[in-house]
Amino acid sequence: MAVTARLFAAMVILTVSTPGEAHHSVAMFDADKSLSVQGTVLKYEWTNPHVWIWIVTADKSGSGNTPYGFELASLAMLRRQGWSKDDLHIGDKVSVTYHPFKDGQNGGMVLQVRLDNGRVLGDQAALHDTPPGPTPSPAPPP
Amino acid sequence: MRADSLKQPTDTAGMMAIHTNSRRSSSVALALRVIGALVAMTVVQDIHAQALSSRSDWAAIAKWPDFMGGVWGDRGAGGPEVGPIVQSAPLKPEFQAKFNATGPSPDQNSGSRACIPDGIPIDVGGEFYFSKGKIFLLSDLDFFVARQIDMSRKEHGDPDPSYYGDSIGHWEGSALVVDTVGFLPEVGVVQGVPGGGSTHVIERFELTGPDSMRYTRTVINPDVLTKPWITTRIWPRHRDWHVYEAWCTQNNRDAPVEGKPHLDLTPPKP
Repeated sequence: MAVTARLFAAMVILTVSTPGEAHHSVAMFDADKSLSVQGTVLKYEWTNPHVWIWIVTADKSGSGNTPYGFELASLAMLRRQGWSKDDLHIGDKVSVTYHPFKDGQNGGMVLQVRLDNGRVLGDQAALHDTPPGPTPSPAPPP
Repeated sequence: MRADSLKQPTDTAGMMAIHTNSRRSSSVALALRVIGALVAMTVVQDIHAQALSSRSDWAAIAKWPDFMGGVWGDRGAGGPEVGPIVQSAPLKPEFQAKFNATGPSPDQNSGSRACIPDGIPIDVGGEFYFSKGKIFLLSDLDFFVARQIDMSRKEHGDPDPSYYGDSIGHWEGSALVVDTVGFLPEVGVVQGVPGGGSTHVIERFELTGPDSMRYTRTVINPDVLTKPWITTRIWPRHRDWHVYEAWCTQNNRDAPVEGKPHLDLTPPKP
């Protein structure tokens, strides 16, 4: 099980982080650090050249909200992995695991998004339980 | 002569004149009809010939190797290559130093952050479309790109410089061979190393199986490279992938400001 879990984790990182290099490299993110933060979706920017997830978290003082920005791959690359514009909605409670920005700003590159209903985006196994992307065509006759 | 005789000639001479006129007019009508028919036949024949020619053109295209359907490439529909292939470029020392300065993975040196098309030889792969005299290679890295490969010309002529250059192609057996020149000076040999406009790229696309293609690329640029840069890789075909609309300028939060790297983390309005 541990091996399987690790394999899944590797898959998540591979499938999400590799395409992230398409538009530019991942040099602006600290790949040695993986952090997690919980919050509420402020906006899901289903756009090119990158899809962004914005969340707000409660301040430690409890007096306000702190916005976090997370960059993902391009819209086309995410669609090919089965993501869609309907995956996240304003107000959804999520937990985001990410490589932080090196400059210390709030946010980074998404590794995994866990929704309140238990669905995990970035995890291919979870995506199979949801409306998938394009169905692979059968191989042509030889 | 009575006035009405003009309208109603009864004399023989008048009748003969009428008959003569009638014969003349019917001859003219006949001639016109014949000419019309000939013209119509010629037009029909021409359309028919065009249709036949069109049909034979399409029939010839149908015999081309099975490139169409799905997306060819490692990581997406087009896009810059990364890792060992890019690092194998035999850059002249001064360009190697420039490339190394930003690390093995190009970032701030990449024009694509500023939504400048990468062009050839950087943005390769995608979905093929065959047409009469042309092959299109569609990709969607930062833009929806329809790269045109002209199969009807043998010479480049004097093309206007562009990001994707002037590509002419031909078949060598089952291999599509594409020769491209005519680049804008800023188009990179690799990301961050502009080719100065003198890059010459020769690509060879050849099926090695139903869903596998060997892509061999030679990049020639004596100003930037110490020798021709020849690389080969095998691309898988992703039959379930599509090419999507992509416009880099839509929400580019990575756009440099005054030439310096920048990240716009202004939260959007809900």
